Amino acid sequence: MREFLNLLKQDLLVSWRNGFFAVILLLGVGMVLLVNFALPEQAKVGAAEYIVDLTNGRLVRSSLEERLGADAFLQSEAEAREVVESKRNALAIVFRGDRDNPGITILHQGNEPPKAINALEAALQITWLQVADLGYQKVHEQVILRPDLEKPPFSKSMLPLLMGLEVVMLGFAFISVLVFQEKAEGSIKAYRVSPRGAWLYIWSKSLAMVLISVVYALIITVPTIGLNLQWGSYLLLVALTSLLMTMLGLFIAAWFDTLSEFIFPMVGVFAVIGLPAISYLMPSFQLPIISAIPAYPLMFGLREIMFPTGKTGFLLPLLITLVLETVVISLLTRWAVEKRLMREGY
Amino acid sequence: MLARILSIVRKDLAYTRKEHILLYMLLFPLVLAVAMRLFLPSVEQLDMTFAIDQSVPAEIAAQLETYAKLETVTDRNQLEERVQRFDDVPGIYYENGRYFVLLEGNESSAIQDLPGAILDRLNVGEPAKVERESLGRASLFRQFVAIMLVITCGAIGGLAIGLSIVNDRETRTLRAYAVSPLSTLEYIVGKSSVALILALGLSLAVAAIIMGGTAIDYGRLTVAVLASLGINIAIGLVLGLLANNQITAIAVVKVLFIITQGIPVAALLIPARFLPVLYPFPNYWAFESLRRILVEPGLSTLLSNSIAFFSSLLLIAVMVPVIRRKFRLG
Amino acid sequence: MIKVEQLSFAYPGSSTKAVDNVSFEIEKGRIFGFLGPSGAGKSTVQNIMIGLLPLQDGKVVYDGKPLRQLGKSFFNRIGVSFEHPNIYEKLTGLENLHYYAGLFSVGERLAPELVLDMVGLGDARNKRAGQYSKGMKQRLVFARAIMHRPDILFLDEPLSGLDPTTGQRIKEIILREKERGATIFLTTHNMLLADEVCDTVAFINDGKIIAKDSPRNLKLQFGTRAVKVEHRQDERLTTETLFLDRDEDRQQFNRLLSTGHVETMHSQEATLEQIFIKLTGRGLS
Repeated sequence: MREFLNLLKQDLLVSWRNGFFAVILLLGVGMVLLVNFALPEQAKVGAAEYIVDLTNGRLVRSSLEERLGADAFLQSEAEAREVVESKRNALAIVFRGDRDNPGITILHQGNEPPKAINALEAALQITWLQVADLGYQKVHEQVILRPDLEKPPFSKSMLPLLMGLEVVMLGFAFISVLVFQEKAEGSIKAYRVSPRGAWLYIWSKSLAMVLISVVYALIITVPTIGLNLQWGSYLLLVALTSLLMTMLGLFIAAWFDTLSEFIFPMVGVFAVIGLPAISYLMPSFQLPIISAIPAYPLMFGLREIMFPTGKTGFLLPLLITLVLETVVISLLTRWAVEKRLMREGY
Repeated sequence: MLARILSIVRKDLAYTRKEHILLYMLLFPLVLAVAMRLFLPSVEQLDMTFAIDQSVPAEIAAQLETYAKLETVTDRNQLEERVQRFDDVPGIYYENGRYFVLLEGNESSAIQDLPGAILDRLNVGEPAKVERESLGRASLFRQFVAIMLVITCGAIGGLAIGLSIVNDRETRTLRAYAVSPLSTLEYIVGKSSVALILALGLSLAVAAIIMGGTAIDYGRLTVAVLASLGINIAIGLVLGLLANNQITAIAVVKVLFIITQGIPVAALLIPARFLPVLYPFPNYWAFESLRRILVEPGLSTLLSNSIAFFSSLLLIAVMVPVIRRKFRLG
Repeated sequence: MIKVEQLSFAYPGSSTKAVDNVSFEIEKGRIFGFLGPSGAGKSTVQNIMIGLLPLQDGKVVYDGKPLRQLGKSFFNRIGVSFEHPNIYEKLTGLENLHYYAGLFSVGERLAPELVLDMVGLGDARNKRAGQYSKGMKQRLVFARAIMHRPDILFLDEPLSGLDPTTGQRIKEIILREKERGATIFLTTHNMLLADEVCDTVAFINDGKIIAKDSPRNLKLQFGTRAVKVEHRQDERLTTETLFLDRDEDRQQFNRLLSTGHVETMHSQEATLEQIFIKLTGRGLS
């Protein structure tokens, strides 16, 4: 244990002298400014819908204008065609006719999934029945499991996303720096002829990086969310994900000789790890591959911790998955470190 | 002058080959582009998902499938569990002659109302006649992936320039340049030329991979990438100025990439009225050119190309004297 | 006692052996000099002996125990001073030693401050190692190797980059370590150092040991009387060292004298370097 603490202290000291803490402070302040001041409170991700109401008596506009806002309504079909033509995320809906002989036209880009257009068609039929006051038999009821949920403002809801993209990557990048530094200055050679093996090497470095990641997470979280948080769950989730990614970074870095070589694959890994951002921004779409990327549970787990919806028991399976993944990666990392870093000639 | 530039180019090529840097630099964007290409169809056809349990009659389930992807679970408990997962998937069950739409409460309002509307629609038939007119356009997602990858290729070129300068500083080769007749401008041109040619080639290649060969105006794309090359030189110079070893370099890269990648993403996400905030950044204009070429081919790129070109030129012009002083070049 | 038997090693992808059938023994408390030019296989042998390269062929035995059976704790017993300084450049000299000391579980060790004083780095202890000169880094590496009082020291070119005064200081420490009872494996191409401190030296060339004995015996074998002759041959000035106790050298000496092409002539004691050149036809550096 004493050896471990000694090593951890030294890894933290080297990290400090490398300016890692200055970097996270700089990045952290940037993130806080972004969330608190730059990002809007409200924003809509996805298609922009426009409506043209040509019905007798303007039935649609009179009942929907209040809810959708005047900006959503266009004056003519020609205008609608122009908007759809020029705005690549727009679609327009034209209502015409009267109660007895209604007609609806959907003008769309063509890149929308067909099922989504079918669903839109269904929604429009029902909307027509409602705005035309035609009456129909409702065959369904809504059951809301947690009706009192408040949705966080857009700006704050981006926090878990930023954390997932940033905090997770930090350990990955920084641990590689330490490894390549030791390779370049040769200090790894001195470690090789000490009685301490690969495990101590991996864990002291990884934990140093986890500590830095946690500090980084705190720098971002406290000024944006405040202190009212389930700190235990929060810290566990951040620390475990960071540990996993740090070990992955070490595993990959072990196979490269210099940082310049490693930097390109690193950017590639960043791109892949960033994919869960799509799911986060469009939660109705889910893809199994994406949820297997560690940033996914971190983003959604953090969202649940930062903006609780009252879900229970979500954390444990997440943590168990992370622990299992970490065990697997740590064994791989040990193998790579033993093979590539603890031996001469590579 | 040309001979001096060429000797830098030759030395850098030999170095990058030995370090496998060239290989990784070329390989990585291409691999990423191919991976994205394979991944794209599943994102483009991402349908909504509804969860149902076995109480929902088979013929209703079959009809529901024309509106959304269905996930079937065995009982109500499982349905509740499914609905409460992180993604937005509403659940449907059938009880005492009525359908119940199970929601968590934090779904977007569109997702909350749709399952019920569809169920009612299945019941009422087609009260209004609905026509669909499609412009037959391909997904925008593909275009934006292409834009981001083209931007990344440029940034990689900048990265290569920067890392090569950092290497010169680390190995103290710069001192040897300082006592040679090499001028600052020659040094910059020597450092940049190969990286930029590669970045241009890579940009065209990844765009072709993502968009599928013929769907692009390569002439306009080439002009836009050329107009934005100055930005990548500037990225490289900033990296070379700020970092004197590879360790510092990675920290600088991390911050630089937030700017190079973050601004296009921000340009995509933030509402149009906030866009002027991004106007001072040359790479916003590079993004705008690419957006116009790939997304709105009808619009001119003359202005955005010009701003990207001249503003990055200005940036470089500001840095040249700093480099001359710091690296003691002629 | 250290026993190396029929050691052979080839690097992956190379068809030639870097080390070819090398055998030697080192008595406890002795200094064994391993001499040869760069690339001769010195470091490879040392790296196999300390377990950094895998044992492909042959045996390495410490006190009757094969290397393979020695666990990680074996490293508590050895100290290694590397040829190329390898230290944490972001840490100070003292921090480097504190860190390294923490890796070893040994009963008795020298205080880092004391070792730094011993090697003459006392004043620079709080300076970052990255700012040290090459010689200072070399001394820090040496200090690191002896700090935990190892039974066996592997010293790879311990005097490289040092000025004569500091070199003398390190040489004295090496001898003190020997007095303490440490067994020392000294890899070097500095023949003067080897001559002064080694009990036994082995010459290695192209992966093979070509001679092995005490410096004194080697010199006796090749003759202590040597003459360095500068002579003209085909209009070129050539220098040759001839051992007068060897028949063929004596004949060559006589031949040169009779042709009258000799320009200068100095009698001297044979050095290990001259013996090495004689044996291999190549110099040491």
